[in-house]
Amino acid sequence: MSRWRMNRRSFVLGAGNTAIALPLLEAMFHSDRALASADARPLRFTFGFYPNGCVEYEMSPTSLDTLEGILEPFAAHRGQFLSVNGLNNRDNNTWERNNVDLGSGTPHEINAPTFLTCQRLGSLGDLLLSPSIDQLIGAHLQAEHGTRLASIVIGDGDTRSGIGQGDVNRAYQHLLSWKSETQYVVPISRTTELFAEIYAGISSEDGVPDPAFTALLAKKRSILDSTSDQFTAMKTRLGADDRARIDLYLQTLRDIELKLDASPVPLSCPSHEEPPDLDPRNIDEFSAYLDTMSDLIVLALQCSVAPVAVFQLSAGNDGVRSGVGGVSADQHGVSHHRTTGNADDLRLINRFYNERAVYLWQRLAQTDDLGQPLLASTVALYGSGIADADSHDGANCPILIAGGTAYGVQTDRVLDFELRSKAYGDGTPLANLHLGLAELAGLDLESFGNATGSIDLTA
Amino acid sequence: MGRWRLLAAWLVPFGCYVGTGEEHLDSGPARADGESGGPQASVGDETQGPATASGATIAETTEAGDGASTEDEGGSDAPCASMPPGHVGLQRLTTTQLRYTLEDLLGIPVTLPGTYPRDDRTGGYTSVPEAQLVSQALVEQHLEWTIRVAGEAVAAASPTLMVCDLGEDACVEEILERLAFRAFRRPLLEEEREHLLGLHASAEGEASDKLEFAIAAVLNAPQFLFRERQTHDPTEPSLLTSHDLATRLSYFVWDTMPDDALFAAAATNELEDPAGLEQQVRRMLADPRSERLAHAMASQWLGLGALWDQGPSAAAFPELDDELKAAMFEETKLFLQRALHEERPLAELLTATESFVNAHLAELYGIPGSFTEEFVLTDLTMATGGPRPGLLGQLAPMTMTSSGETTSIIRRGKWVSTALLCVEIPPPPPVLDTELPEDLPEDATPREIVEIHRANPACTTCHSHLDPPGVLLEVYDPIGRVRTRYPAPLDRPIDTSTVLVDGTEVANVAEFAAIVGADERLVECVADRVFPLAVGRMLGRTDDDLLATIAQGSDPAEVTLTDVLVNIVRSDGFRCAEGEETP
Repeated sequence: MSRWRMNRRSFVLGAGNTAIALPLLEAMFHSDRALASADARPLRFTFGFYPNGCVEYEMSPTSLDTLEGILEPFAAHRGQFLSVNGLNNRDNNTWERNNVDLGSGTPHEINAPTFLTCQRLGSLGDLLLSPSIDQLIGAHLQAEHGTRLASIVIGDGDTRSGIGQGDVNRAYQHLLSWKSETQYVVPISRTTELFAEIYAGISSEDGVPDPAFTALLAKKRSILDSTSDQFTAMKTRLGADDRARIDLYLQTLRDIELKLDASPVPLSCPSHEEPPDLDPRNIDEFSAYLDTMSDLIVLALQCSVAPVAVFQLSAGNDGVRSGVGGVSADQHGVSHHRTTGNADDLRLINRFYNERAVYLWQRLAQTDDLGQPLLASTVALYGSGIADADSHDGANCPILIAGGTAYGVQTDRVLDFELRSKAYGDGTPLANLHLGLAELAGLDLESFGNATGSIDLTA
Repeated sequence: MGRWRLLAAWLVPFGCYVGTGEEHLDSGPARADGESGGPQASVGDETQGPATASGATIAETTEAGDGASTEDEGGSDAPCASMPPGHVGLQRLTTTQLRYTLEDLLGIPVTLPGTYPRDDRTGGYTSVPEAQLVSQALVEQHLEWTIRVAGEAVAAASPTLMVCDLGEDACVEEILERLAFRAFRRPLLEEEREHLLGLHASAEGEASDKLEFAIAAVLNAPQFLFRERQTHDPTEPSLLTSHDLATRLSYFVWDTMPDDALFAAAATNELEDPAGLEQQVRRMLADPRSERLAHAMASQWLGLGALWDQGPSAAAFPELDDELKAAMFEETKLFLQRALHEERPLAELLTATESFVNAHLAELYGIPGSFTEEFVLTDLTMATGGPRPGLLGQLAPMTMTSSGETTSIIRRGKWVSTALLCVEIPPPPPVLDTELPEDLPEDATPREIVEIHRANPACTTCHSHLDPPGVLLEVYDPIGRVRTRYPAPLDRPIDTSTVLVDGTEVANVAEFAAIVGADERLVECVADRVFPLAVGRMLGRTDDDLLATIAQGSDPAEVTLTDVLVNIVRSDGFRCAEGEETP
């Protein structure tokens, strides 16, 4: 990919680059790309995720007329979103051992990794899965629109790893995105890191590429080359196990090289102050952290730094973060609302995350995208792989989707895929929705996960 | 039934259970299996010997003398032949180790960037390869950090780095060769040397720019970041090279690269003799940097590094801020440090009545007297409610094992079982109904509830191990303060008397601590828990002989923590490694 290839969108935004002479400007474009204004507002996606579900089906309204209780925050967006009820992802969340299904439904721990991949875990210990829909869509849109990144993936600060319950690697709980079978995407959990990612190499004051940055890029590329060579040499000296580990490093080095190559920076990103460095592990800063990350997501989408953002609002299990929604017990214990928790406390937690989701929707709606709300060109999905938390119901994933209206998404309705108690193999797979999202993005996948078809949100 | 739910919060401490299979149904608790998890590359593909491009192995070109080992010529008296050394994956330097290493390597103070990924853990340990995930953020952050640090080192003209005047002939070669030798922790292969000098030659800019660039390249090299191991014979278990032994020692005791004395010992092959290893480890334990080992033991062996990730809620315990947590952690670390430096008997880890206290902690312990921010060795028999015995009486583990607003009998029992008794209790098997009975008395105490629960024959096997230590520790509230009654609304006295799995009746923590402190299995357990810090793998079922060699049937009232560390270092488990062709 040519280093000079400019992001078409940032050209269209225009402000700040009038000093570039026309012939040079032409040279910056691939000759086969026309400057089509229809593409000027490309389709973007956000995937918001909460891990522990809710009380029964409370996050899957059957009517959008009255939005009360935990759904009350969504009332402000009435008409702008739809509810997709009853999709089944439980088939991907069984833990088999010797082909015996252990029958725990969708345990909270593996809700996250299967939500966007719709496949069973490739291994309990190693972090193996398959490409997630956000990464597939992101890579496609990156190629289409020349964004610097394919996606930004954001987490809640959870960093657990190592073998835990049921011999499953605890790291799965904070991983939503996979690029390939072995390449999981470790999320960003610092506001300053995401900010640096968005503004890499450009001044956040005036949007002009930083000359020192160009020199640094060259240095980094050379070091990466040298490092890759030496890793390859070391590989020949290692046993089989360790070679696999080195392969992961080599892939990561290549990814970074590609990212550095794709580096022309958005010239017209609005200026933005560096955010405070908020710690998601500090309950007093947690809400501000989540909202600040939402602000940065909006910025990244608006500036076409990335077409896709993935946002894990919380990780799933085992004594995670107490104090959310003012509830002093840990979230996971509370989510078992018939035994160790109670329904009212779980609703307080749900409401807290719903308010964060609404904050993002609101920012998308308020942000200008060439004369339209950014939300109109953004499919903003918010959901979980579990409905009733206590019974681990993974067969009725609660999903709310806002935006995308400029691309034909029909909002203000409920799509019901048999919201009821279901067995394995029953109902419509969650993967069908993801396949439909890919189609919306112009990506035709032959298959995805355990999809049996695709759900067309424009119909 | 609302009240018992709150009290019963600790009965489901581990989250969504998913079973580990039927094999656990009757087997009850078992020794931790060190071989679970970790990357499983497909075996059976082509395995080449450890040959470099030049055709020579690193071991052959770096050892003094003829390079071929004269010791392991086969036969039953060869070192490393009598017990399997166990498989250790390729260890990366942890973030902590990187910071210390960069300081020693470059001779300048080094700060960790806020955005650099922190270490993950498996089983509590950070330098076990299974804990070490690769992420793009890690590689990118490392690249940025090392470029910056290289610049700082050159600008500071650190004498550790600039061993000659850049203007002199061949000075650059000298600087880079010395740097790379110390960074890779062994003599360079010829092609490595050529690669490095070639990189430098092709770099752009002033002399200092070129040097910075070459240094940054070294700091990103796998030979620096990973602790590649070489043995004398790649086809069978054999001794590690002297340089690898030096590296193992230095990261074990000091979390950093070998110092000049260790490099010198490696060069003369002294380390291949267990006596040489012992001499070095004792020297290193006496050095102030061994406080990093005390830190690692507190954080990883005792798992107290998790104190910042879990514990009671700040809403319920507003006094529990980061500063207090840091003080709690520091107490345990200083306690372990003292055990090392003063060579206290191992039993005292359980039975000591003195510990390190500052003003914050004195308040929680209820110790009269005036204290400052500084930690002082203090007699804990003056604490409220009587003596706080050893590790069991300290604030950090009690705090870490609580959550929300309550203590957790089961979490505390599990901590004691894992950290001090080396008895791993698996999660309940899936076929069990772990629901509480409907007819629980409204005012049942947590201890009574676990007893009812334990009376169920399906639960007894594991819970007869798990519950008693947790019951005994109920005398400490969620942040470790002594209490004699459960708070309202339960408001009942706390009765900690319980029965251990072998039938022994115990009334309180101090009695239990005495029993554990006198049990000779304590020695093996401490060895088991410290071994991963030394070698980078957990011990498993095939390591019984190795543990017996390390523990030597010692009496915990006499053997010291230092003795255990020395025996670990002298053991085949430390000195040897498997052949490359892993089964």
